[in-house]
Parts: sequence; C-alpha cells; structure tokens
Amino acid sequence: MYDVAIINYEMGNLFSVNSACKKVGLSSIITDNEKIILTSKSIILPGVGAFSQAMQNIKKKKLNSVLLKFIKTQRPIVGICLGMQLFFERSNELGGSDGLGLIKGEVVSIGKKFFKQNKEKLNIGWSSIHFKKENNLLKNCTNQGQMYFIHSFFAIQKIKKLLLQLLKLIIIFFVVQFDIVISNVFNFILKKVELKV
Amino acid sequence: MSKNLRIIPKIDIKNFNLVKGVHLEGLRVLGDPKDFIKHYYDSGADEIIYHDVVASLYGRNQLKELVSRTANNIFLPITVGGGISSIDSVQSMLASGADRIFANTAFVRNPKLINETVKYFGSSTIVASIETMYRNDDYYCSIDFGREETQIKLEKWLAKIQEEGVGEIIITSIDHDGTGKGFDLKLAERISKRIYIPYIINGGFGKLSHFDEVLNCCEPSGIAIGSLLHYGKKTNNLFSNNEEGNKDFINKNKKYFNFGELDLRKIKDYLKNKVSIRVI
Repeated sequence: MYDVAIINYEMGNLFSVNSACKKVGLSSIITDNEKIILTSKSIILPGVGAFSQAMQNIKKKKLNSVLLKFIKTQRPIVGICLGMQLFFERSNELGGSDGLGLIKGEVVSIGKKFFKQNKEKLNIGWSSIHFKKENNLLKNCTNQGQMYFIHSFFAIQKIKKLLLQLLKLIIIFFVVQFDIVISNVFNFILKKVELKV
Repeated sequence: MSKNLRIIPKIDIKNFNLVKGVHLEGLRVLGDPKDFIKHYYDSGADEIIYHDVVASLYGRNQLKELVSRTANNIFLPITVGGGISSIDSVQSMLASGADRIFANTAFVRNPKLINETVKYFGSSTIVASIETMYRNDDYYCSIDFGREETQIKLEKWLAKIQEEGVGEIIITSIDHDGTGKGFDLKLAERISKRIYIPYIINGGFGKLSHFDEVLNCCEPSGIAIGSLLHYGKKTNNLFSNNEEGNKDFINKNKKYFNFGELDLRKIKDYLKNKVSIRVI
C-alpha cells in the first residue's frame, strides 16, 4: 500500500511531484491503475495542462469514476495547480469545459480581473503568499511566503463548506522547497487518515 | 498587480556539457551542467532555462536525463527547449521533470504546432523563443540556434505567436549574446511596444548598470543570463577537466570571457530596491 498515488492522466509534472514525495520519505507511485489508486492512503491529482484536455484524458482512462470511488473512502486527495482546478464544476479555459464537480464553483481567467490589458493573462514570478488563518503549511520553509506563481486562471468557490469533509483543497504552484511543503501537507492529512484506511 | 522580475540562468547544453558561445557561435565546453546549476540554485536563481542547442539540427534531445537528475534535487521551475517537435515530445519532457517547454525552430517551421500545444498543455506551459538579429535595417528571426536566418520579420512573428496563445516569450539578441556589452535596447524597446504577454530578455548582460538601462525602457518579466554567471569567479573551479573541455581557451580569459565577480546574490542585492524580486 502506498502513502500517495500520483494520478497519471498523461499530463503534468509527474516527475517533480514524485521526486518531492520521495525526498520527504513518502512511498509514492505514478499510476492510472484502479486497484493501486483505491488502496493508497491518499492521492495527488497533479497539474500542468489545459483543463478540457485534462478532463478528456481522465475520462478516456475512466479515472473520473475511480476518483469518485476513492473519495467515498473518505481518504484525502490533494490537487496541485490544474489538478486542484479539476475539482471544480467548470472552467472557462479555451471555450469552457466541465470539471469533476467535487467542489461547487468555477475556474475563471485572471485576465479581466487583474490586468489592465485583457489580453494579458499570465501571472508569472515569485510573490508573497498570505493566509487568512494561521496554519502549518509553510512550517520549516526558510523562504516563508515566497512562492513561484504561474497561472492564467483562478478558482472561485461558491459555498464555503466543501461537499466532502475530508477533501483537502490544497493549491500548490511551485515552491522552492516544494518537498518541505509536500511533507507538511502529508504530515497533516496522513495523520488524520491513519485510522480510516 | 505589481510586476516582478525573475533572474534566470540560461544553461545551453551540447552533448551533456554546459556550453556557451558568442553570437550563438563558437560554443565552448565549460563543464558539467549539474555543478553549475547547483551553484545557481544555492545562490538564488528564480528559475532555470535548459536549452539543447543542437537538438533541432540533429532532430533529437538529450536533455531528458539531465532534466530528471536536476528535478530530483532542485525544486525550481525548469523551462526546457531544443528539439521540441510534437505534443509527444512536450509530454515526455514534462514527464522527465520539466515544468515549462519552449520552442523556436519547430514553431517557425510548423506554426500550427503552437496552438496545438497550447490547447493541450495550457498557455502557461508553452513558451516561444525568438532568436533575432539586426540586418538590412530590420530584425529578422533565426532558427536552429542562429544557424539559419529566415525572412520572417520580428514584429510579424511576435504578433503571430501571441495570437496563437503562448504564455511567455524568450527573446534572444544574437548580436549581443555572449558579449557582455549590455542588452539590445533597440530590440527591447521595439518588443515592448508590440507585446502584451510576459517576456524574458536574453543576451548581453555584463554589468549591473545594464539592468537600469533595460528596466528604464521596458518591463521584462525575466532576464536570462549565461556567460556572466558561467564565467564568474565562483564558478571557475567548476570548469571541466575532461579533454572535451576547451580549458586553455577559457583560462586565457579572452575578450568576451572577462566577467568579473558578479554572482546571483550580488545581482539580487543590487536589484532588490529597484524592482520586486525574490531574495533568499
């Protein structure tokens, strides 16, 4: 049984995510195998890709039903970047596409909201990150608050209460100490899930 | 949203070695890229650009293994290019540990590929590279790492690749590459008038005041640096001892290889009060 199954839908920076997991001592595997996914303690839905293409790939591999089955076990699922966006009902990227619908809300372009020129749509570079509530997500990071952002979309959650209790919505773009953040995230969620597996 | 600036070491690779030329020519073997990258990571690089500079010419890419090894230990965004020719080649590079992909030759030869890759991987993953030089009163785009000049004018191509949806552009001045004489300001000004997406300026950095020149006229999202970092004093001991390495040439400190003692820390220190920049 693996600590983390990293979902392989033929997209995304699978290698970096796997390296970070390994570095912090998590047993992880990159997989699209239903049995392995359903017996893992937690899963990561990685990112990097276009929303509609990602959904196409997920459906083609029938991973959407596997993900829903997994969530019924009440074990945690972490979405990184596009992976997180896919949790939502819909995205307006490239003409629009439906998502997994695990969280009420939609993913929209940052263009009109943040930039003077609507055509400009990419937020890229290192910026500080601020939390509304104190948490341990950046514990032990020496460069607290400095995150590498690269995205053209952001998610708007419609209702504050998540549909699924244990579904942890974690947004990770890139972090210099990605490994430490991964470690913090999983220290937190695996502790909670230990008894339920 | 305030703009911030990234300082990005540009790692040119040929046959697994770090190489660097002048005007993209006369590539010198400097050493094992891993050692240089480790040094740049520790001293505060914001991102790494890997470029297999002979990949398009030979139709291959040797970077995968190197990218994998780097992604194992270095948690920085890695932008990789050279020899990208299809959706599959982008995916296999991402699967090896790259975070973003750039292409030049393949996009020029097959402009449909730009939008195909953008649709598949999202605009934030796809970067276009432009290698350009000034001749006959205008800037023209080159391909195959400067080996082949095209008749495509800079502004026309700039409009096209933005239209096709790339997320960012790396602009290399062939005229200034490796010289340390400063950024190609004429080029930078022309670009900034015609661009509405983020761009990285590459080629010519040699001393701190060059930053002021370029930041006075334009708002690049990133600045790529090769020679100055590779030939810096602190990387001197990293130079290759193998026979392939042209050590004699380097040690002679020829005209274009005398870059002094600047490193990433000093660069960031200089910039931190001028622009929004990450300091470690």
